[in-house]
Amino acid sequence: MSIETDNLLKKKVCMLGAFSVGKTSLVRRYVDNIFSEKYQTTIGVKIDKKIVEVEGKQLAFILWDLAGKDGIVDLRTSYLRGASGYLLVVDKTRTNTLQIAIDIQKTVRENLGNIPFIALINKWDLEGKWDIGEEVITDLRTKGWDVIKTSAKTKQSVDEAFKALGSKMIYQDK
Amino acid sequence: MNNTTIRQILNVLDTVILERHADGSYEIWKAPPIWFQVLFDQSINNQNKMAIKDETSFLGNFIVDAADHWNLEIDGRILWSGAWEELVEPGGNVLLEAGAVCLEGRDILIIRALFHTGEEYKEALQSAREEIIAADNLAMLGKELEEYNGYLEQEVQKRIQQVRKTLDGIIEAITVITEMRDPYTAGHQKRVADLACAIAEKMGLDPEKIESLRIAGSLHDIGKIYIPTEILCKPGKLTNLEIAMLQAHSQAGYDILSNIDFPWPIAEIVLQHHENIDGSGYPEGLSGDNILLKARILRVADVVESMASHRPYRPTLGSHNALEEIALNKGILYDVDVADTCLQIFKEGSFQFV
Repeated sequence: MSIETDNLLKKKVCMLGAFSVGKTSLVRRYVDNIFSEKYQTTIGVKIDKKIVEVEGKQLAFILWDLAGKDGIVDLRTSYLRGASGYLLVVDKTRTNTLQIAIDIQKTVRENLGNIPFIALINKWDLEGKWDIGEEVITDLRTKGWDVIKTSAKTKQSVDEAFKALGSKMIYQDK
Repeated sequence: MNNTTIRQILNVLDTVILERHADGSYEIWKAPPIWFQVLFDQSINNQNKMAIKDETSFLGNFIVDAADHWNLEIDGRILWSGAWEELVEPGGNVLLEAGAVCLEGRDILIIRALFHTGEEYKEALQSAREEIIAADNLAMLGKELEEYNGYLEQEVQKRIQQVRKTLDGIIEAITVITEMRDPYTAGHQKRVADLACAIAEKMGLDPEKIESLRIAGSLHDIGKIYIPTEILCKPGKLTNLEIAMLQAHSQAGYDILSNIDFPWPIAEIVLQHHENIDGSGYPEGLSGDNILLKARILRVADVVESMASHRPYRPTLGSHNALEEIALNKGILYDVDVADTCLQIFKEGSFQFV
């Protein structure tokens, strides 16, 4: 969904991924530039907003931070309605979160088609606990995914990830 | 029930009721509680009506599903939106849930704050997820430990191989020194070891035991280092004294090897390698099962190799005669199973001296 008012382009962006991969932390870092070590589970949906300039346009990210998928909570596809793009978050320290991300991407594609997305391999700062190897990232890139290595804690590539998605969404509109 | 009572009940339940009108506006039923006014103040007009238009908002998104539900006109069935967090400045949030229901032909929207139930649910969910993460971490730790154990196991195997290589070198050196004094029997110990290992393998002994037999075989005559070369190389018949001196090599071998801390009873095997099943052997006259199995194997291998090889005091008697000796004295001097196995491997042609 893209709503343009007074040169402000509103884009709904979903934060998707398994639970505890850092979706909320990435939003908090991006919107408020804060980070907390404490894990706080998200219930349902948390919506936030940030206005930035991308490709010379005023872009309002309407960030839908969706509760992480697990055996208890599943993804409600109605929440995806109207999304212009999404960030697919994977926890570099938990291999199983990659398969969940792959499953989610398939679900989104089935519901919304090929809308822009970027896979974020998050928690890059936890070097001693890495569980996903570089070859896996290479495989994802080989199949056409844009992958960015992020850390909400150190702020590594967080702004760049949102900006890259913004560019893709604007490019998609052209 | 009057309007005031209904309003109080709705307030207690932290619930707001709205009715959708044909123009798409939502009339708030009775005065809404404070939290609702704070959250949606900008969307409420002075006629107590609320506009829900922005589809990027949670309510705006839900209204699409709600409209489908209302169109079904199923009286009394509620479609719940699932929970969402509405942000409250500065930095706070309220957990809400919306529901759509058709009542007597009217489209009703319910919005309720999950002040208590939401917190309880959140705590339970958080606790469950923290347990999953802890279990994952434990599993990962287990996996790391397993990998580290594998690495350590490999390192230990490498070290064992190194130690074995060193041990082999030392044994070979000792064997050479022993046989330098008795050139007629050069290579005897290695050939005995080869035959003993072949018999042991055929008998199904495990690799560790076969390895110990190889070492014992390679060193079994080490005690001859104490015997004068003249006796070892004497071409004629030995005197009783010389025979006694020669027979002392088993004990001498034991005395040398018992100082080495082998993981196997190498010294004992060497000590017993001239014992016979009927107790007629030396040095202790042991019989039957009192003799170590590996010593009984070594005994047979030693006899076969000795008879099949050239000696200073006689030419070779040949393998045929050696095997006949084993067959003749099996169960008397030689262990029956060992003797049968030895005869079998020669008969099959699965072994020959190098």
